[in-house]
Amino acid sequence: MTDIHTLAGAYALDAIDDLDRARFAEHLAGCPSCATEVAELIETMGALTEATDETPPVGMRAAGLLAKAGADVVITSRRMESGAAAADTIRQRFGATVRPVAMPGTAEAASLLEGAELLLSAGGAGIRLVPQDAWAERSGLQAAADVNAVPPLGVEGIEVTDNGTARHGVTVFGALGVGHLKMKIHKACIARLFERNDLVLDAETIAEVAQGLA
Amino acid sequence: MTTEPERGAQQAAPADIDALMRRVASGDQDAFANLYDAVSSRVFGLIRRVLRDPALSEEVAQEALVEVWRTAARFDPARGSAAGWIFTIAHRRAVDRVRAEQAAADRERRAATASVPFDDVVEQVTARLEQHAVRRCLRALTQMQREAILLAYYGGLTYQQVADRLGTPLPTVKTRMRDGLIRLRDCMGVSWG
Repeated sequence: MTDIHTLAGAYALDAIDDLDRARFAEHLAGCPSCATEVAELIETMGALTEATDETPPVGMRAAGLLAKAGADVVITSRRMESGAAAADTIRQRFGATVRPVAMPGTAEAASLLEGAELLLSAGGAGIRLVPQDAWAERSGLQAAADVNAVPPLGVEGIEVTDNGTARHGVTVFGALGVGHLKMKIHKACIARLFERNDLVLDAETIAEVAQGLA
Repeated sequence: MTTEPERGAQQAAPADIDALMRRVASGDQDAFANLYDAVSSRVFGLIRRVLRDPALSEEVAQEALVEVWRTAARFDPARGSAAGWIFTIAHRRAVDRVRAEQAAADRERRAATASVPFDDVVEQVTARLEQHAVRRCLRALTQMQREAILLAYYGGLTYQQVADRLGTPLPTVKTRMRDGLIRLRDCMGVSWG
């Protein structure tokens, strides 16, 4: 074992500059046991990503796009401060204004849905946010969607497989229904990425791609 | 509409990711769409740990996944799992971005303002990991090993920079990284080859 071998940890962590990386890669090519060690250390750090996985916030994205398209959007959070912070982020990201409202519990859902045409639930997995009697048969409400797949869903009465299903006078979508459309958009976006090498698709462009599919 | 970010509800098994990767390497776009779904939340989460800024992280995550597609044929299953390979690409991209920004800041002689607020790094990452099964293994490291690993990996620092920040000799930092990772590997039961 040579001195350079002590770089195995730094190499697996990307904690080296390009020169050291090149030297170490050369060393690895002639040292099978080192290559195995490095492979295992890389796998170990890869396994840590299980603990840091994260999805960009669906609700904020949808709220920003809808507001930018001219909709009057209300976002609810349990606490007013987090709603106001989210509204700020949306303003910075999309240049669009949404109204934050505190919704401490499910009891407030019905009054907040007064006059709403669209309901999107994108809260924490497995947390009930909107009871069925708050949305069912509500005049003016045209569509409701819930992007969570972990029961209980955010909107009571929606099934994960709902995909444009009529329930209680409202057209509803569950996570798998949304996912079906998402996969179509996703493939169209991937096809778009293959057309050019320098393309970065932002949320607005992806929304345009989606509208092109409709 | 509620706004809290959510964690991926389920995670694909490494063997599934390997199988998808084989199809991606042969140019199968549908397989790539599925691979994307299987790994994107972990790719994004990793990059965001390093870069913090969500919009920048989304951009770098996209670049990383496009690189996965473009270089898929170079993936060698004999040398590691597809997941490990993908996260290596993602991490490298994030670190390259951090270092490019550091270099730009250095050129403008305002390195101090642009440096990673690394006191937060270890604390935040540990807090997040504490909620997970890997916490037991991280706790099994010495505090110095843990600090060196997390600062480097999530702070995007080179071992020389870690040594500077901690006021520790270079060989000691290299050893802490390697010994710590080996201990982590053994605790998590990772093996290869």
